[in-house]
Amino acid sequence: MPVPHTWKLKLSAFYGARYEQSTAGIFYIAPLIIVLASLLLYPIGYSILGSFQSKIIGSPGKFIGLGNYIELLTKDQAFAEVCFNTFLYATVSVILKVLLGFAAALLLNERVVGQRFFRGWIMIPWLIPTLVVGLMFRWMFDQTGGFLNFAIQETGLMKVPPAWLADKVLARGAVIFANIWRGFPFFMITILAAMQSISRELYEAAEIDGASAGQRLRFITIPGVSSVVLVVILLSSIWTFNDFELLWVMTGGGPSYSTHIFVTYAYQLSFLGSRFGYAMAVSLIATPLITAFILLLIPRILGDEQ
Amino acid sequence: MIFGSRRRSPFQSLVVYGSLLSFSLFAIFPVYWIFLTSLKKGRDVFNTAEILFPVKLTLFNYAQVFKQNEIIRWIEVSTLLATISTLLALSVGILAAYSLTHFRYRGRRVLALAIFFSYVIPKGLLFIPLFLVLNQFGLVDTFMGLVLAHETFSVPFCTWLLYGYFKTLPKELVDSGRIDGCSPMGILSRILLPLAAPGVATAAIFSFTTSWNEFLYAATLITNDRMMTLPLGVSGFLTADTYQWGPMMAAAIIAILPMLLLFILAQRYIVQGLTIGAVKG
Amino acid sequence: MRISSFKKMCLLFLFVLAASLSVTAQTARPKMRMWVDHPFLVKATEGLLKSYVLEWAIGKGVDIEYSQNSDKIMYPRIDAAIESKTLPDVMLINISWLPKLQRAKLVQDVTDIAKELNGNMGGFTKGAIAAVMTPDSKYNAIPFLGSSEMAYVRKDLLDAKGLAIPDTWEDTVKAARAINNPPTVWGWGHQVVEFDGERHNHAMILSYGGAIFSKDGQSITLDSPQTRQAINLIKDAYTEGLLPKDVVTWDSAGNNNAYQSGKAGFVENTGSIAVWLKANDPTLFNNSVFKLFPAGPSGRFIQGDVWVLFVPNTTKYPDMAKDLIRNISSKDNQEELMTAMGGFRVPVYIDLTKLPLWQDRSLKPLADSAPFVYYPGFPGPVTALALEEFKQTIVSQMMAHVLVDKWTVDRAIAEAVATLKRIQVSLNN
Repeated sequence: MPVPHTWKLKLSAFYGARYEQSTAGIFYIAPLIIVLASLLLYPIGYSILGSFQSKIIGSPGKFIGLGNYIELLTKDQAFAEVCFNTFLYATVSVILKVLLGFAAALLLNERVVGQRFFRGWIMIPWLIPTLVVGLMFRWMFDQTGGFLNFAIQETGLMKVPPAWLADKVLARGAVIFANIWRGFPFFMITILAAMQSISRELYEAAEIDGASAGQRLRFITIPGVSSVVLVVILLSSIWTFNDFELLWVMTGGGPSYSTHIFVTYAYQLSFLGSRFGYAMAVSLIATPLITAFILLLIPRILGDEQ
Repeated sequence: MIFGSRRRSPFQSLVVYGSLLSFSLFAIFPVYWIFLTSLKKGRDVFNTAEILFPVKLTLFNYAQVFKQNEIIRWIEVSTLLATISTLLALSVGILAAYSLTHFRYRGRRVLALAIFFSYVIPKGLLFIPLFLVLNQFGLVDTFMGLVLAHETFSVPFCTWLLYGYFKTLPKELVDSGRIDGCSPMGILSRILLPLAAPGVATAAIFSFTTSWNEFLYAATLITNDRMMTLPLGVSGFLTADTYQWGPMMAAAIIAILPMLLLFILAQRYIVQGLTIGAVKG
Repeated sequence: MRISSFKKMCLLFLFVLAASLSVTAQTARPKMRMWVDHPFLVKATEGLLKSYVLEWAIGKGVDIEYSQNSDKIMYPRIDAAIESKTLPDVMLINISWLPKLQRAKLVQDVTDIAKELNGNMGGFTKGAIAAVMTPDSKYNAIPFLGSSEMAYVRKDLLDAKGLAIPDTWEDTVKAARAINNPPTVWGWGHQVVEFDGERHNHAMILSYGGAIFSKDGQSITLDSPQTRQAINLIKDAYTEGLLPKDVVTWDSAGNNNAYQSGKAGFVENTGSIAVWLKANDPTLFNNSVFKLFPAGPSGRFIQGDVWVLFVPNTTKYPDMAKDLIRNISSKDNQEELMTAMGGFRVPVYIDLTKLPLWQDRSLKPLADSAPFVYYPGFPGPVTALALEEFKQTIVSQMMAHVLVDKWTVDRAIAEAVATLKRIQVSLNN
């Protein structure tokens, strides 16, 4: 059967996977089930149960039903702010990381002199220990000794530059910046790898048919990487949502809760404050939302049922 | 541009190279500062003014790090940890991703969803019950215990990432493989994996670096100084309220090098051209 | 990856697995374990403590695994060990861990060894005893190291303006105002958040005649005019720009870095800055004056801290553990350790304040501070509530609410009191 000419048709024939109607599939996924179930069933169950208990580390918990959640929603003065911070941090960081990563991948996909050099260079933020990244940014944004302010002073922009980490709004911007700096190489490389898997033939055929660069981008590149991009957005959203170390080292949730997200707040409650059960409730309170988010995206990813 | 056959116009080249340089600067500038700090001794780290034209540079910190600390040992342990945990996660993940993309069975969607739930409880709280589980099996303060702890976040990651890449692969190849009488394992190893090599390499890179940088599980599970990983070792430079900036930054720079090397090697797989010829075949 | 490289991968995998097993095999489990959750300024000092422990072990023919790490590592590790009841045999920890250990029923009575050691070197200081004694006069742990604070003053900046060295909070603010010249130098590098800040806030409230807890330790007396005076002093100085704005977000190294980089005129801290200056910046050291922690209208108060040796009741070797404690607390070892620490920590044994070390002008204020040192809970006993309050830095959060969130002082105090009451309730359950 002759292969259809039009490259647009080729697309739909190319992507997606054909399924085997066989239970051999279960056999292949068995290792994963064994590993994750044996390691995670108990801890996840324990944690969820813990959120319904009044529990301190070291002592058995006392079941209190929805007590923690109710207290969190009604009496916790920091909850509203922590909620806002978490969603702001996760959303803005992921969006900007996707955009930056995609743009960088596009550039690196081109034939350029020193391609390997650029790829290595741009990957470096990901390779530094998180502790060092956090401390470095803390220092960089420091009002008294930080380089950013020094640069601002020297160039005469401002006589006394702001204290980035002491202002509620600026601090949020600073941590988002740090997260993006640290995280965009992940998007860049994963999307680049996906781009590299797209058959050259499609591009050639499209060019022959007169498609412009922009059209090639829209109809070949983007669909070609879409499943990977969606997965990576999902993964990164969850990770950023639960991003503890960078934030904790950089601001400790400060100033005054303005950069506390659910996980850092939970940590403060649990390890500095001993309230493990309540901390669990804090971490889990957003689970329904995350689940909804996942459920929204998963059908798209799992799509193409043939 | 975007794989056209026409050469780029000078303007387009300018845009491309200019953007690449900007990205590079963006990525590198803070690291340049880390590097610079690692070359300064004592109170000189506070000389912000010398950022562009530094004076009094010294390799003292590097010497100190190598002499006083077991940084080589930390790197060895971290490398071993990251390698094993990545290999294990990749094996499990490749099979699982294959299962999710190329087979149909009841509970497939539920399983896919469930895998994501490994991430629902943040590590900052999950580590306690996970410690309890590993303690039951006598795996605390053992290397395998830490590897298994890492599997809890590496396996879902590899599975899902590879899922994304497997989905992009052309159906026709799988079909022709099946027609040729290839076994399912054969399809996986002869067709899918070679084509998804960029994806596998990517999963490997990120799984490796995540294990390499992982702090919390290592801190909780490893008490033996001989098994300290690199992040744990670097945290030792935070001595009370007087941080040893110089040596810490030197250790960070030393830490980047093996990973950079790994990345440059792994890059060979993220190369356009592996699909050429496959369709025609 | 072609087929042949697939096989290669399998071989590599097996090889690596074998290598990992060899790593596992090397680490044979020792008989005893000691964890040290205390930050040492200089690696050599930590090595000193380790050497005492290891020498003792060799002498007794015992295997011991000694582990000292920063609290970033120790906090989660100890928490997991508490939950799984797998604590080591001996621990050197801050007293703020004691309430948690008590609630987890892991405390071992060490009164016998404590009384024995109390007979050495003039005995323990009052505060150290108060920190480890239960209501029925039993010892929970053995004091080992203490801390105190002093004020660091940039004399050169004061001299340039012809100013005397201030001694009270108010005078410090006045002097800071005179030398304030951002961004070259900020007048007052006063830490207001985190543990350092918590200590400062407590001290200031007491120095105005206020208190967080009552004399019997049962009531919360934070809401008072004196507390308001203290808050307002800081608030006015902060608003005026005498403090770097970053103080509301500094970690414990914040004021160190500020003073060490020459950007602050006054700071209050333990001896760690003095140790650093001597080693790294003789010029700044010479330009600095070291004096007693500032006083308020109602007196001078310095919040101290204690690190204790703790023996969990899960240990299989209680007598060995006590013997180890006896050994590392010996006069020779304590003197050597104190001197090696260079003033970073102050002794818990009364006689050790007479060591020659404390005659140095940069450390004398620490030795002289002993009469003014008090512990969390003052003027009441060191209660679990007081330690919890300290660990959660409730008062610092209150300060941050005023400075950052621009809450009214009344609202901030009310919130702090409510939080403390909640903690009190949860502790009594």
